[in-house]
Amino acid sequence: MHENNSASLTEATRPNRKESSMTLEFKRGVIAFLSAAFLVSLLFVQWREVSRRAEESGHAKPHINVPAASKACVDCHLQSTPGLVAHWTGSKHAERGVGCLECHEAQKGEVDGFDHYGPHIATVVTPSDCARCHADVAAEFGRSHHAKGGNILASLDNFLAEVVEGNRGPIALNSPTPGRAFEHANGMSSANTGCQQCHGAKVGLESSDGGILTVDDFKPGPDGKPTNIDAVARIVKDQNGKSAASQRAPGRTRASGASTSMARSAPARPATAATTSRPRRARQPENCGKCHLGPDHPQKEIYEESKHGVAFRDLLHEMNLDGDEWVLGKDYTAGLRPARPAT
Amino acid sequence: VSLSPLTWIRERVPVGPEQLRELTNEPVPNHLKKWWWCLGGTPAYLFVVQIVTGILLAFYYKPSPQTAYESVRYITEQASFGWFLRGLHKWAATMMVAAVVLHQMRIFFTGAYRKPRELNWLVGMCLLLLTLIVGFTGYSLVYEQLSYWGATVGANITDSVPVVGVYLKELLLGGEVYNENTLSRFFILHAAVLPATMAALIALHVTLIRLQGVTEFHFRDEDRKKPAFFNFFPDHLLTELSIGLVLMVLLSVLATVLPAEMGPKADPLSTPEVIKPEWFFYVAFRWLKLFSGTLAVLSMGLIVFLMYAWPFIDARIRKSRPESEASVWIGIAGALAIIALTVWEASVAH
Repeated sequence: MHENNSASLTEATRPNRKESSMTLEFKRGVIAFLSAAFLVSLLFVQWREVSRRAEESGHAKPHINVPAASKACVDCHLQSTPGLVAHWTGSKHAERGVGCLECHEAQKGEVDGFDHYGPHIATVVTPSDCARCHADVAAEFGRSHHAKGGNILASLDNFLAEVVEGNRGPIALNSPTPGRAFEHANGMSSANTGCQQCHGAKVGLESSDGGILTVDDFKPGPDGKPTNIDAVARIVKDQNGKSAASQRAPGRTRASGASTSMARSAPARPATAATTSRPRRARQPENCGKCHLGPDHPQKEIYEESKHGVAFRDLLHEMNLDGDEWVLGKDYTAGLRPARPAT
Repeated sequence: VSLSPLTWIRERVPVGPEQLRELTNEPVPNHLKKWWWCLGGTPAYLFVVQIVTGILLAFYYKPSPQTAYESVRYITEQASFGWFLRGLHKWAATMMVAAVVLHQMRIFFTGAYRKPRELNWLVGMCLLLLTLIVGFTGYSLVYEQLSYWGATVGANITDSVPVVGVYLKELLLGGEVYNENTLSRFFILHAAVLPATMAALIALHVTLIRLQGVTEFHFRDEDRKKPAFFNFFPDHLLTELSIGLVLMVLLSVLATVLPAEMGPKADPLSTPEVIKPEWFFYVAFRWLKLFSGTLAVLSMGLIVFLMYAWPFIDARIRKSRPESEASVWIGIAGALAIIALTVWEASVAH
């Protein structure tokens, strides 16, 4: 279109203008350097972007940043109990920067609190601890039937296990075994190995008078903290200040085994293991089967064979197990319609 | 009398081979024999890729908060080659921004914006801003957590512009806050208004280049006895086609190896822990964190204004000091600052 090529000369390239100190070759070098720097930075940015997107969509393991306050815990437990740390690194808590102390930190004066290489912690994490972050969920759980699951142990529902089958009266064996002579039957095996495995138990701490202290003795107030200071003073503690969970009281589990159930009586009810928490794991029907199975309440077995159970297993791969939401008919199905309606 | 189809057409469209040759036989300066000087056509090529893939994606996309995310998921997971088209669209957008930046750097450092090409610089600046805005609206359409909150943050930034900010925000969102009508507004902007404006500006950009010719560069090692120009057709056209083919291969590889993912669906009630815009806004995002509020927005506005006005500012400088190369040093500082702020924002979570 332009017929005279000289018309295309710019101010920059016009021959009769004063010679610039900067040559075109130098400018070419500047362009090459900055373009290369830009492209390298673009590669770095895209690498970060792609990694972030892969983590968001669940296609890559998320990068875990150990919070500063929990670094010492993680460093030490990597040596002593690496499995515990591995569970934590696989949890949503780890992804969101929630470390050990956020859940395990205890206030001075709490019955199960003890000094542990500096921090004052409690092994058992109760819904009161969860409520520090998940206030709404803890309040909802507190109102639920699940929260009162432990109460069954003091109800007539437990009559069969503890009274009918659980004979603790005098017995007269025909041929007592030498060294193992006893006059009373325990009779609590059904309750211990049955009901209490799901419905939980009150955590028992050794008392200085030789007895057992439970939540009933501490008389917790509305905030879950003990109001009976005398009972607190009677807790037997070791040289580290750690209270000793009773191994002697029948029907009372050790603190270490206390996280086997979500249905514990408040406030000594431990939560499910938050160190392993992931939405897709919590959404498996097997979680319900932890309690809702067996001859007394066979809901899980009924569900497994029902149309709903069969459909759930069949359509599991289509469900949004990792989603933040879990809406029936949209993210998952009860077997009546597809989890993801075709758009 | 029977006429051949060609004759029939030529009677109605009086353009023959001679006219076509005249139209395409633009003399092209010798430096364009090197492919790295030919990247000006790259954004235009990627623009065409975006139009084609965008039309195909729009067949399935449904712009409303209830349907947007599911329709994108349908494209990604169920529609035939939907994942590939989405990947092409995503990566072509990234490469288009990069190509525009590289092209503009070349123009800036060689002073190709100077008289008589100031108007074309202004058109190019408009195309740069439109490319960024079309990227922003496209990112928002997916209705993921980050795209939703990115749009919300973007609207709030607009709000902090003094006097007109509140109106601009309402214009963008179709209300005071993100609402039912926002997505359809973004969609119309992204798929119709902005591309049509860009197409018109690209036509104007190319027309001005044709009228003024490509800026000539004469390097010292150049043989002055040889012709300074070569033919557009077929020599330069073949270079452009080769670049286009390489781009297509690169795009296909990126879309296949690193396909576009689905993040969590937007939840207006839950602010994500980390909010990140698309990468090409990292520089502005970091700037906003450094100088929060109105100061950051006003200073960014001033920088954009200076970029627009640079040909005229540069002319004033060179009028008083003809040998001045201040623009090169300012350009180096600006480019390094943009790279540093972008890398900084990419390196940190917050």
